[in-house]
Amino acid sequence: MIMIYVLAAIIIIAAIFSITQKDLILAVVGTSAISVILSIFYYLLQAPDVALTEAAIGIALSTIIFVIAIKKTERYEE
Amino acid sequence: MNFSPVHFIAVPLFAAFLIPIVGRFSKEAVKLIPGLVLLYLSYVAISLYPIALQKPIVEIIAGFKPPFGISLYFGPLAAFLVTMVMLIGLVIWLYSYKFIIREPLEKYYMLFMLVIAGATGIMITGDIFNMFVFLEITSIAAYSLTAFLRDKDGAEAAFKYLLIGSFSSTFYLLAVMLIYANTGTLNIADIAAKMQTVPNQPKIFIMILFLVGFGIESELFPLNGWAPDAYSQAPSPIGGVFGGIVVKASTYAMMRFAFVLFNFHSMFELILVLGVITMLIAEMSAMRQQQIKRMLAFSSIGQMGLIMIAFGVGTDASVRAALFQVFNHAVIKTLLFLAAGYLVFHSGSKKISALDGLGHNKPITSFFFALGALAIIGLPPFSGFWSKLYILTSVAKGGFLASVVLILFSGIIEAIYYLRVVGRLYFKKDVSQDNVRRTPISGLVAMGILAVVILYVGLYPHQIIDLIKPAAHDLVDKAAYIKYGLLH
Amino acid sequence: MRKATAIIILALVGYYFLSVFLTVPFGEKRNNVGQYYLHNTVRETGAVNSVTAIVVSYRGFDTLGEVTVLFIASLGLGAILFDKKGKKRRLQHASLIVRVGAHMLYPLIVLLGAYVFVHGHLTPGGGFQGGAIIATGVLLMFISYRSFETSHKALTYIESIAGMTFVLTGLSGLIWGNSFLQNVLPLGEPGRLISAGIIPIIYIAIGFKVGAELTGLLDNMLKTIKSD
Repeated sequence: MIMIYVLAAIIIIAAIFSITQKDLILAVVGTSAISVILSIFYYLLQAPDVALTEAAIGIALSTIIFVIAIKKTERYEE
Repeated sequence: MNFSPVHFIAVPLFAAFLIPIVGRFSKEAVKLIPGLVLLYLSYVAISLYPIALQKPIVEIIAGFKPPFGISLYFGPLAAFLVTMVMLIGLVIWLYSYKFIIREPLEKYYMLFMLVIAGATGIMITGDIFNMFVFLEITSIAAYSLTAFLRDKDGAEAAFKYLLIGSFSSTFYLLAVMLIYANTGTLNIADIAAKMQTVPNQPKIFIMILFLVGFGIESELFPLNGWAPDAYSQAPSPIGGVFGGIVVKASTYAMMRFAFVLFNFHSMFELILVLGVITMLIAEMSAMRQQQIKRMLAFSSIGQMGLIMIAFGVGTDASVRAALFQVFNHAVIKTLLFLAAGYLVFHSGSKKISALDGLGHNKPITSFFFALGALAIIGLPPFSGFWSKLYILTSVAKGGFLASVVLILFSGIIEAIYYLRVVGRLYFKKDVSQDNVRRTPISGLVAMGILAVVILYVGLYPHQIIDLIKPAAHDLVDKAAYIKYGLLH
Repeated sequence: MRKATAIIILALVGYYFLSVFLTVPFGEKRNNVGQYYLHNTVRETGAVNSVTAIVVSYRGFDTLGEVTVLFIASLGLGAILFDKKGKKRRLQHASLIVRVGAHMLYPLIVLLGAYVFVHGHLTPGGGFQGGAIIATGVLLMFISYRSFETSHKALTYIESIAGMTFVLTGLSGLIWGNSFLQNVLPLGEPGRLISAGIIPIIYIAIGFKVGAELTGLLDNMLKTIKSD
């Protein structure tokens, strides 16, 4: 039970970290961290299919697409 | 194998998966495939129409009866709208055959078929999550088609459309979640039967979410910021697809939910007020435009506001008038976009000032544009006259006299900016030097078919009205929808 | 000033959202369509994994739509990036540890992905998950080796044939049964690999399709980077 609160707090901290960062690569890493914790949450809520999908797509593929987009534009927000 | 409504979805999807393989062998065959698919589907729609008029066709998918499986509801309203969509799609395909010359061609035709399949799916489905899937198909194909010309403006317009359209999908999904949590089922007829048990606070919230979600796609104020850019930066036939097909599907979905699920008096008044504001702001903005396709986009938004006013009044007569205007606007606006496409092509620039005097140089294309302009203003003997007349009389009978005055006022503004363009076409000196290129036959035939429809409906409106009466009845009658939808 | 008003409006909207969503009780047994699915899955579809049965059998039409959405996304990307691609990826060569590790892990990852989508009706997972895992494996190879190429022609063929298999399976339900996507193969014994009628066929087709699509998407995007 305590683990759920700790994980929820980590998600909120990672989200705030993503929004306030100026370096966009770190912001994308924050989003990816949210995906990791979210997939653990889905597993704890007894939905293994959703956890597998979130892990496969949210952690690897979504991040790489954002990184490619950042590489072609600006790395630092103004 | 008999015809059934699932062909409208399965055949375009199969053809879209087939095109890359065919494209390896022959490019010309790729251009023909959407035409064959749309011809076949028009034939299916026309042959299913009489059956749907007697009793709505409810087709079960995957063999599990609703509410445990998905069902398609093909009633008179769906038959009317789907036949309209198929015929407009066929005309636009014919026009695109020679108009689209920019690579990659096969992806254009695939996306074109998929956007039509998605819009058709929204119109025939009877399941609320299935409608979300088709909304996604339509939206994402529309985003890709907006950016098809790959210039900087196109990319910006597509990005704006994508950002705002994602809100539409998200709000719709939140509404579906709340409905499932409160009623426990996903079939629209079943939800309608159980809607009384839902307490008021979630119900109002769900209604707002649906209004925002569909309002973004139907270009209501203030959710239509994406529309002028998307219409003007997409290729011209795609402007016709957006204005004639996609927007109509979204409006159908919003009104179906309004009549079957909610039936709040206040929701209809809200739609009416939003329609009035949309119409006024769009028509006044259209007057100030310098580019022809942006002007047509704002005019399209204004016409959607007019249709919303007619739906918002909520009486039987006004719903019939609204459906008539839906049909007319789809045909006329498509004709205007197709004609504008070739006018822009011949004059070489998107500005209205570059169109001076094209009436002498390119008489047939300019004639079609002028015909469309006169039809949409509402002059007899074209079809736009009848539908506007019906809207005005039914809104007046509903008691909303202020709206009647505002509709007439915006009609005058419309007349000003359209006749301004027509005047420039015919009464100014020719500034373009383009004497060599001619409009291809396929484009002229496509525009000609639409013009013939406009004239025919204008001279013999009763034939269309006989088809609209059962369609309007289908939209308004909640008990019949529940009865047929749950297979009783 | 604008930031403050934006935050206040967002807080009010968020409070309204929260108050409506909190009226839904969380985690207790409610009377909905889901209960029917849980009780009747094995008997009606032969699949042991309920989620797979719902995704492919009860609501297979939605899955067809979702596969199409992914197809459109990959198509749109290909259309927009049509003439912006170079011929080769111009990333740096990765370090030795990454290269050796990728070389060893790549076949294992592809095998895991194939296992996930073939056993979709028995274990958690399915076509989408398996396809995404395969695409992640290919991504690992793309990042590590500059010379790893995937044949664009083969990917297009796999996508198209897999998509057509799905629609043809549905149409076979129309021809030999009563409705589109109806199960026309015998259900078999639940728990065995060959069971549950058309569910393995559809999920294998989806697995191939999603894997090919995501690989093509990543290939398209990685080729547009010009190295500096």
